[in-house]
Amino acid sequence: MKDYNFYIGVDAGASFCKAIALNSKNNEIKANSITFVLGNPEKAANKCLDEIGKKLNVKLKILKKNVITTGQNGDKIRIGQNKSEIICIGRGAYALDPNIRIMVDVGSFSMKVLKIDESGIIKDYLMNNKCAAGSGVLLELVAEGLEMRIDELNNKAFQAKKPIQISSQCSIFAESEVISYKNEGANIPDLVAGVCNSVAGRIYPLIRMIDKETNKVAFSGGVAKNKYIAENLEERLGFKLVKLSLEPEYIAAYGAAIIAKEGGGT
Amino acid sequence: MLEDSEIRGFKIIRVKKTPVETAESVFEMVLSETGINRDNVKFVVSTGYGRDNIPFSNKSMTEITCHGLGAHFLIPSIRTIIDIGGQDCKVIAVDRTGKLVEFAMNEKCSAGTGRYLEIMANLLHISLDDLGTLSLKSKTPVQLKSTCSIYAQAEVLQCINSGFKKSNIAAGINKAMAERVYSMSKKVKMRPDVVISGGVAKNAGVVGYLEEMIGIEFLKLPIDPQIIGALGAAVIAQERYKRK
Repeated sequence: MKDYNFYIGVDAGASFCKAIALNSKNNEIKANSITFVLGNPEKAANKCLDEIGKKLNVKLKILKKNVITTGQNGDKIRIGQNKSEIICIGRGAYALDPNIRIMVDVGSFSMKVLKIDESGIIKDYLMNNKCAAGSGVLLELVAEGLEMRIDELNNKAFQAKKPIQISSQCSIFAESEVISYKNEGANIPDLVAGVCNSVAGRIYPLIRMIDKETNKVAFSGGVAKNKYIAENLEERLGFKLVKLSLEPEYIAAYGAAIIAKEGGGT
Repeated sequence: MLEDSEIRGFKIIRVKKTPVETAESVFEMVLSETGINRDNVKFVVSTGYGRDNIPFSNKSMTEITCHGLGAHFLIPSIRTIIDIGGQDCKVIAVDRTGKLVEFAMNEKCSAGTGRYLEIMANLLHISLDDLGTLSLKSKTPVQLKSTCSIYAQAEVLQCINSGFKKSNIAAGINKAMAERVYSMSKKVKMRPDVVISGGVAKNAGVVGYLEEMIGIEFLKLPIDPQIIGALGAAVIAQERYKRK
């Protein structure tokens, strides 16, 4: 018999909305979906659910029964219940790999670091949600300024010979700095690598602030898709990051779906 | 351009690709408008971000010094200058000779600089000037919670999407901007007379809120407030040349 009990996690971030569907059997992901938020989180969430409904061939009404929303814009969605990103990221990380002691999540607007213990409890967290420096929006702005796609930044950065140091802290000023370098004829890969290094340079101290010892650190959020940033972070830390078995931008949505399944959504 | 302590001409342009290119063309424009030959210019002092790379400059000076001297040249009773440019915000205290006493500056964060207003004006599809005038029509400014320009951008977008009046959004933006400047200005002992210089001084909304918060009415500058730094540089150029 077909299992019609689905549990959905929706992570409406500042730029992207991500959704994941689990069913009652296990924590195996049945479908996922991602879309731009574009100033309308509710619409984005519905679009994600629509897509999942089509993939699973299930009616929206059934999907909407057990939904947990999270993320920067999660509270603006009138479906299901809303949970904090910290809790969802922590739950997602623990479910993927219980050995992870620190989760660093860098989204488009904010940076979070969580300390998780052996039983999955979040012991501590730090969050920068006052200033967008070091978050993904810088990558968005730079990609736009250099007229490339955000996912092209990674390959460009790996071609760098001598990364240019970006001195601005504010993402808005950093974008202007990048444009001036470009206008002066700077080598584009060197410039992109410089931007990526500056992002890694903002993430690193946050990790060390919350814990000085562990080397079980995993990196999530849209920014973690940039391998160059991840490698630069590894260099600064002096060890390899824990590999995740799920695309990094889906961790919070996955955690939310698990919470929905555990009864948090009803 | 100064001649015998009189302003012969001035020009303000938007920055070009590089500071050198910008300085060259604004210099050319002043020369052609005043009809003065390049060879007759005795001394050039450059200031601002690109000040050290200007090929025709004889000396470079910091903006802080130049703003103090420029404001003092126009109104000798000035003791405090609030300068809000596109990339930074400074509060400068000077003595009765125009010399720097202390200053506070924000150049790290775009919130509280002209850049913030530029971003917001773009979002509202209005000019920087309109941002000021529109704001005066508002009785109920929207409340912006974020400090960060990027977060505030998202907040303003939501205000637009929720159908708030443009005038109320503009006023909210100007008020948030004034709050940022006000919180920084507290680092400097503010003594009258006070003037506000830089491009943002042209925004009556920001100026009004700032006067209210500080509790001092600002004096009006008898010239374009955006030129004060350059004027101070010209004052130094004149002094340097006389000393030679």
